[in-house]
Amino acid sequence: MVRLIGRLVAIAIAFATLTPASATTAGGSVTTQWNATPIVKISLTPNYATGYGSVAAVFGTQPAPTHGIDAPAVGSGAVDFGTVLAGGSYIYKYAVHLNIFTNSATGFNVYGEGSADFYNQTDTTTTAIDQTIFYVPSVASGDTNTGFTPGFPFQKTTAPQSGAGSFATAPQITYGVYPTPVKSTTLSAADLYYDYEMKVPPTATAGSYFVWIVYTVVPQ
Amino acid sequence: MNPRLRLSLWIFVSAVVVAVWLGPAIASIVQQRSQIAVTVVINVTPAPVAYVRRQARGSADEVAVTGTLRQTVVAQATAQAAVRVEAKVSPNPNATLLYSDQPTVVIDATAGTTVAVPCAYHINIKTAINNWQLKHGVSNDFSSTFLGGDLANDSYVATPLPTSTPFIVYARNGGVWAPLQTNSGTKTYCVDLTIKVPVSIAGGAYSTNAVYTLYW
Repeated sequence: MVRLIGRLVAIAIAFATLTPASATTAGGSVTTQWNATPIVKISLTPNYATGYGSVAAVFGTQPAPTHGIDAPAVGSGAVDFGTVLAGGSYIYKYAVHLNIFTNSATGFNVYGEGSADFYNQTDTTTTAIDQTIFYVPSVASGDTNTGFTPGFPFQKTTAPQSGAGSFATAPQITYGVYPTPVKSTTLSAADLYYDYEMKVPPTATAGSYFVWIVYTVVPQ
Repeated sequence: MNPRLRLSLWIFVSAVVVAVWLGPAIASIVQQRSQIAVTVVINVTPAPVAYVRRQARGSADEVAVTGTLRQTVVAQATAQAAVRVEAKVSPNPNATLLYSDQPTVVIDATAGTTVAVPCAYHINIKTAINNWQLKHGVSNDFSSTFLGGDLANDSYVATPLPTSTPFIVYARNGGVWAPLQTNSGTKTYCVDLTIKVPVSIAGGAYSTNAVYTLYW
């Protein structure tokens, strides 16, 4: 019995004097890699401020804005110039607000193109969008642009798209090669405000026209 | 004579005298009949950055540094949103009184260079009226350092003028347009444009409106 107790004590002492294996130290480095999911969000608000609507191009005192029935209220509807005269020029104030957010450290480009030319639903004729509809940088409120503020023409996209030609549903454009951006920034987020201008060709036939303007945001 | 009758007669005679005296003046008052704008967009490419001259082991050589390339694409995250633009176009009997065949002109130019565009657009006046006046100018400067006067025009019906004339800038000309010509009947003007882009201008798109106003 005494011999057994002695052996157990010896074993216990042996365990007690063992150094834990995990306490052994070693030098080295760790490379950690991960993939970040890109975040790109765009929120488009039409008729984004009180006072939105169409104003004939004049110098001096500006007429009150008006709008068509498809621009019913602030923040909704279409950019509806209402009734315009062939040969006339107009500005549509507070047309579009773009709120853009990305997690891009190098900013983003914004592309804005027409899905088609300006299409007359009444007789199926068209007017070239780059001769008819223009965009003008604007502000959140206190817009002082007039119909003679210099603008830039929208171009008709050459990229393939789905849903083209629909009045009710916005088309989707799939780019292989991007056009010239309407805005390029190194910021990761931005609010962009635009007025639109319309120069109605003198030869435009009477009728109801429409076109979709498609904005695309791509991180740089 | 009845005093009331005398007063009526006096008023009538006075009205006749005033009408005879002011009639020609009233008839000669010139009114604005139509006004249009041609958007002129200048796509500026930055000037070549530099020729860096360096001395290399006893020999002088030059290294050309040139501009940038643009994009191609892409399998990456994108987002889209769209807005519909609408209008109801009504006929306008005066639509062709004064109009341009090109509502927009786009000119590509490199900073520090001058680009000429013959007959960039035509201005058409379609009327039987005699002695109308056509005035013109640009609405704004392109930017604070790229002035509207850097855009010059040579506007003519048949034969180009010997030299081009810088556009006046309405916003800096006391709100007054420059006379282009007094003429009669239907006419078409060819407008040659010459743009001189300052060398210091950054690349990008700049725009202004060339505005034409018809009076008689």
